[in-house]
Amino acid sequence: MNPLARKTAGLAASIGPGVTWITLFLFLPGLLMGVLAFMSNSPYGQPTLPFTTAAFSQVAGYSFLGWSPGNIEVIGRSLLQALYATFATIALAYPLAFLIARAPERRRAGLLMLVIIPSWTNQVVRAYAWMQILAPGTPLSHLAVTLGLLPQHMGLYPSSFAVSMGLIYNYLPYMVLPLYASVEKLDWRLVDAARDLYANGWRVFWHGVFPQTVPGLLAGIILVAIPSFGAYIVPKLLGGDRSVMLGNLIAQQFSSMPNWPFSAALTLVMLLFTFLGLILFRRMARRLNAGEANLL
Amino acid sequence: MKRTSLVIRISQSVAIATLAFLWLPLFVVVAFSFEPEAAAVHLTGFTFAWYERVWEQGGMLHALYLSVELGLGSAILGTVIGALLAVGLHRYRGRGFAVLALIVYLPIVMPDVIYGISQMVFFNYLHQLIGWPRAGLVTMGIAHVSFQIPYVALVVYARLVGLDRNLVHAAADLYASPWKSVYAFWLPVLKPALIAGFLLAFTLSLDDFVISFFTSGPGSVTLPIYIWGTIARHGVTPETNAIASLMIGAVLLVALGQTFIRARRNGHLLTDTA
Amino acid sequence: MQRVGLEIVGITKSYGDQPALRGVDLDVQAGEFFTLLGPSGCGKTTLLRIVAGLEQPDSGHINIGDREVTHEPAHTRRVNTVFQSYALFPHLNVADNVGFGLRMLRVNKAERQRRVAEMLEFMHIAALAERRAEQLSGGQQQRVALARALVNEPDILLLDEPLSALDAKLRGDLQLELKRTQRRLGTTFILVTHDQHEALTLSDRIAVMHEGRVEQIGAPAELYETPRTPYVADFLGLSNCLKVLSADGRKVETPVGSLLLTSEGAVGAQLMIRPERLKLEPEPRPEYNHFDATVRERIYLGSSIRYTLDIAGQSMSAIVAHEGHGRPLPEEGERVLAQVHPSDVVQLAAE
Repeated sequence: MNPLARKTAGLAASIGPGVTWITLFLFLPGLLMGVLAFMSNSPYGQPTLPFTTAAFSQVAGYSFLGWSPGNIEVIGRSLLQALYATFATIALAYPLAFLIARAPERRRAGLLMLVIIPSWTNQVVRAYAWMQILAPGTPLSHLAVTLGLLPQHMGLYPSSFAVSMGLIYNYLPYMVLPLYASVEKLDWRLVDAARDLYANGWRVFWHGVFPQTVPGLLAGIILVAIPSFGAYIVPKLLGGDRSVMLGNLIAQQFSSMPNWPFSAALTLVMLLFTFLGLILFRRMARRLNAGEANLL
Repeated sequence: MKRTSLVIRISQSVAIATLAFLWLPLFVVVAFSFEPEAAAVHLTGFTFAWYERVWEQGGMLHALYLSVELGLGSAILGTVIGALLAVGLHRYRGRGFAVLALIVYLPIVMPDVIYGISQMVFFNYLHQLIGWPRAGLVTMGIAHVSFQIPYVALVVYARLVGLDRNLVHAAADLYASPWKSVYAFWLPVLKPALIAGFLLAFTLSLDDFVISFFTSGPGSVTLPIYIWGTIARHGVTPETNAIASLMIGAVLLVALGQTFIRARRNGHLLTDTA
Repeated sequence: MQRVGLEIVGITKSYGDQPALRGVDLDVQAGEFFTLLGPSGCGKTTLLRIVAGLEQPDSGHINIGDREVTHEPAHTRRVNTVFQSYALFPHLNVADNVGFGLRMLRVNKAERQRRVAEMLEFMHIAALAERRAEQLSGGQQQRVALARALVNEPDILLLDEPLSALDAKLRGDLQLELKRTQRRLGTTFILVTHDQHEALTLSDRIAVMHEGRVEQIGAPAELYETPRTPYVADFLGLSNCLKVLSADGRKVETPVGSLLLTSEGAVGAQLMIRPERLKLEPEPRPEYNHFDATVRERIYLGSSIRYTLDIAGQSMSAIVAHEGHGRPLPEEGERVLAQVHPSDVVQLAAE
């Protein structure tokens, strides 16, 4: 065999199966969704010809009943929930990342495990645990009722608040780990320099510490915001009719009252937001030459 | 100085509270699985009754069996294909690399719902066209392998990047033909990464719910789907607490086992892990 | 051990449109310590990898002994390599690393263990047999890599900058050891290096490479004393190059004045004088060429002193041995007489 043929054969044998598998079972289904989004919906809930953009009008809220804000609200709610989850995990992750990074070296691995192990339990179990905690009559719900935040005999679940809690709980480790990686590499001489310049602890953090943790922060934002936006389990279990997120809406259109083109159009919208966010943050990370974010 | 130490103390308190936040829900589930009162909001006693009930119903064991079958089957295939992909990507880094990198990264960032639903639709059409595959363990397996491939590839690729590029040349230089170098060089050198990749693939398969849910069929109720079903039908129940506690317990056992193994290897805490 | 030579004929190799080798011819004698010397990017490592079979040449052929191996893959060539990074297998201990080649050659276990043990003894690393590569120092890794290659009794041993990763002191010791090993075994060694001192110390012959071509081949003294081009002169030590303005028999005009050469005939475009051949003595020696010079700079180098001289506006270097209690040496700013013997003026070809 000549070298070129050998190289081609080696390439085909090594990457061939993987590329074929992912093309066939991931790209092709994705492409199919793209096509479905431009087809018409038959009365029986099956996509048919001709090609049309009707599904996208429906996403924007137009139907034979006129315009309704429902779908736009769902998209907005999903973005908002992703935003809440991101900010809350950032606020919780910074102190925790510092606690671990400043702990004696032999204890760090153990502390990291304390963060990681809960995320190894099944996602369904994790969401279920919050159903248990936020149900009517539990101490937390009772507290909310006492404070006048809830009507008598109501629970904190199902609600948008419960969805937020579930998302924060689910994705917190994904914020802690990249942040920890940044904090662990922190150059403390820069922090000391900031301490010389500023008396105020907050300004020391803002000028001496924060800039150094931005790479980890960006990676964490990607890891939390994107799956929160696309969440399915948490809003399904912890949310009610008024806290439906985009993932639930898509799934609903495929099962209970089938309208595949509409659902496929929603899927494209979700992908669009996902990739826009991804590209945005990757670009920011690249500009900062951020190590952790380059892993993505 | 006093001000700084106050900031640090507040920060430490928040951090410890956050750790508690991560563990509290799991403790609550486990604690209430031993609570004799069916619709309790406070703990009143201790019982194994709910575990006995789960055992008698039997559905969980079958679901567990299906999960392990699916996990092992898909992880073996996913590890082989993913490892080959990593070796190819590493060896033939060239102009096409960006396209190939997309194949690795896209499945990782794609939202689970889209992943699962598009595959469900695709398998549905495929079944109409050629009569295969019927929704069940096969479609779930295909889906699982497709998301395992990139993760395994990343783990193996990371190991390859860490290797001296001359090693494979050294093997050839020392009379190893391409075939001999597979068992004398590649397999032993990549062994830690292959094991880590396999374990990761297996864990991903066991842990996945969304993609499994959409690609499953009537006869393929794996453990996450089983517990989802009981929650959907009955909400919070003591039986569900017991099942969830068993799943939490399994995770803790694995974590303890891993910590034990690491402690015995003493000093090499972070080497072979992904 | 049998001794085998190497013949390289018309080898070319390009990466994309970037030529790495532009036609290389070499003959390496059996049992010779041969060195490919040049800066990074001159093609020396590519040539070595082609000999090893790790790269394919675009054209030309390679004979090892009287067998053509141009299209043989690496694993069938009786050639072994010591890599710059040593490339020890991380999954094997030292003994298994050394035994890897024999295992691939299907040498039986008893024989293999005997030869590995012998080789470990020979390289003074028997105590390390059970260690892993990551537990070894740089010098130890180098010895293991050498043992791993030599235990197979290759026809030719290739060494790709084997000492460049080590610190200076250790490098000096290992150079001598490498030379002795080669003498004892009589195996043909081909070394690639960018270090002129290493090349001069170790080699029987050196090929100086430049931009994918062999510029000159010769014994170390030959290359140093009579380089053919300014490039070779410059690469092997310090040199003063002078442009030839005109020539009349043995007499040549240069920017620093007229010079007498030992022979007449075709004079090259340039002349070269090694700094240590330039004498700084007040009394003119007979038959020497003399120049009036001013000391611009004086640098103390321990065993010698390096001067930068100004001769008729031209800057020249001279290195004068430090003789301790002898007469005082010229200071900066002093006017001196610089002298060179006609036989120390080397004629160079144009660049």
